[in-house]
Amino acid sequence: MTGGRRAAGWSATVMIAFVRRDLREALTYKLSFLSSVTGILLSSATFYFVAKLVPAGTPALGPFGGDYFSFAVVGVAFAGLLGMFQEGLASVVRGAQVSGTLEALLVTPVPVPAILFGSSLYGLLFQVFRTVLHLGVALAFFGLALGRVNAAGVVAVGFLTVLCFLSIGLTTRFKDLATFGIKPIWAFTIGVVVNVPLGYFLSTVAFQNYWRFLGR
Amino acid sequence: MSEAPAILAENLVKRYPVFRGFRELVLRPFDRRAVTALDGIDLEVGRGRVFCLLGPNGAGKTTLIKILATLVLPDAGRAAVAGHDVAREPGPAKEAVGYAVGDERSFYWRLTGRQNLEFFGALYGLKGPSRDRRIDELLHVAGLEQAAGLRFNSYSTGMRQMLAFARALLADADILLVDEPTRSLDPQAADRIRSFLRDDLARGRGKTILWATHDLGEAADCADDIAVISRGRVRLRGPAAALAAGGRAALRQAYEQAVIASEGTS
Repeated sequence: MTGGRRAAGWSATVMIAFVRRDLREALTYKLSFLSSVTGILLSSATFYFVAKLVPAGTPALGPFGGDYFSFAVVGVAFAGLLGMFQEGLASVVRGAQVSGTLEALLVTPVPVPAILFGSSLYGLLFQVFRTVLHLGVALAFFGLALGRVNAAGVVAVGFLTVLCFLSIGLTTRFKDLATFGIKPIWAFTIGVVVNVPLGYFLSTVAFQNYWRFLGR
Repeated sequence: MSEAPAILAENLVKRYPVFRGFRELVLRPFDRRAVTALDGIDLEVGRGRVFCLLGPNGAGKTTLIKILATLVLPDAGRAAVAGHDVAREPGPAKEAVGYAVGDERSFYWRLTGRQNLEFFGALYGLKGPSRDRRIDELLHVAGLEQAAGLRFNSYSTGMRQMLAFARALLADADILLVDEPTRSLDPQAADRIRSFLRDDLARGRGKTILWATHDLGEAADCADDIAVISRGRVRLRGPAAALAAGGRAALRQAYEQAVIASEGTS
């Protein structure tokens, strides 16, 4: 009867199961699923026409290439992604608590970090898809200009920001997880270990000029 | 070498901190008031036995089951399932027990019964054709083959409970923990669940079942052993045949005496 049973955990089977579960649930809300995708097309068009109202060469947009459309689309596309990373873990735990599925998940042999990651995976993937689609639509149909983008900087800051926001999410839920036997200190330590160097980097490197300007 | 008992609890203690508002936290930051859920429980359940936990609301039955299911850590004492300490070896302990989470909200309501089992099956390490065969078998055992493709939110309360058992059996663990499985069920559905647990799972498949219930008749009919818990302690225990020898009225009398006595001592 136990044939085919192997230790679960961080396996691809488990992660795919989480994604499939959430995709199946999302597809049961057909109209909502459809509108979340078509909304991207509409918002790109909206920003395109709003950008027509902003005069070219506005001084405030100088550091961003002077193009309001590119500035707005990139901001909106990545804001959603970062928001997902920030809220992802926190909302996963809270959502499972509210819906009542948390205990059923925690009695399985899958480690808690894998449950947290797996449960937020669909949301993260969908948000990445939305971001790519957002940028893709803006590039293909509305002439999005990404010539001034520092790709390496985006990757570095993005990676650190994701770590930071994931840690914030985990840290904010440690009290709930502690009830189920997770040592709060782990979550807190992870948060501190990630946030301290990130804070140092953001303060002394990324926002160096901004702080200098503010200091004057 | 003697085989470890299916379930063992030794001097098990669990206290829950009392919820306090911000005002309380500010005014009395070092106040550590707690409610004692378990106050030194000792329990041993032999393999293949049906062990009923009886007790009033708040007696500690659910807390004990959650500790055995590794959902809650004890504050003191020791608990083990199939010889695995639930605090020190939560991994093997989890694999040794199937916890039939009674809360119907523990399923994904917009997925079908089969899709729910597919998801949880993957978390138990099942995959491919063997997973599908296992799910088919469990749906058959639970009498849900015809309803497998229906959304969970269209299931009756009895069907939801049966799907909870099917989920708990996915891992084919030898020990099953069930918490008030016949709560909110009509008499026919309750009888079917009792028969399923006692005849199919315990007698037929040799499962050990720790079964929390308020229903004295259920315990008298189904249990091999009975323990009465009140105010976090075992107040009475023994073979069901002995405790219910004088019929349900005798069991009820013994139960009430044990509970009343506990109120006098606490």
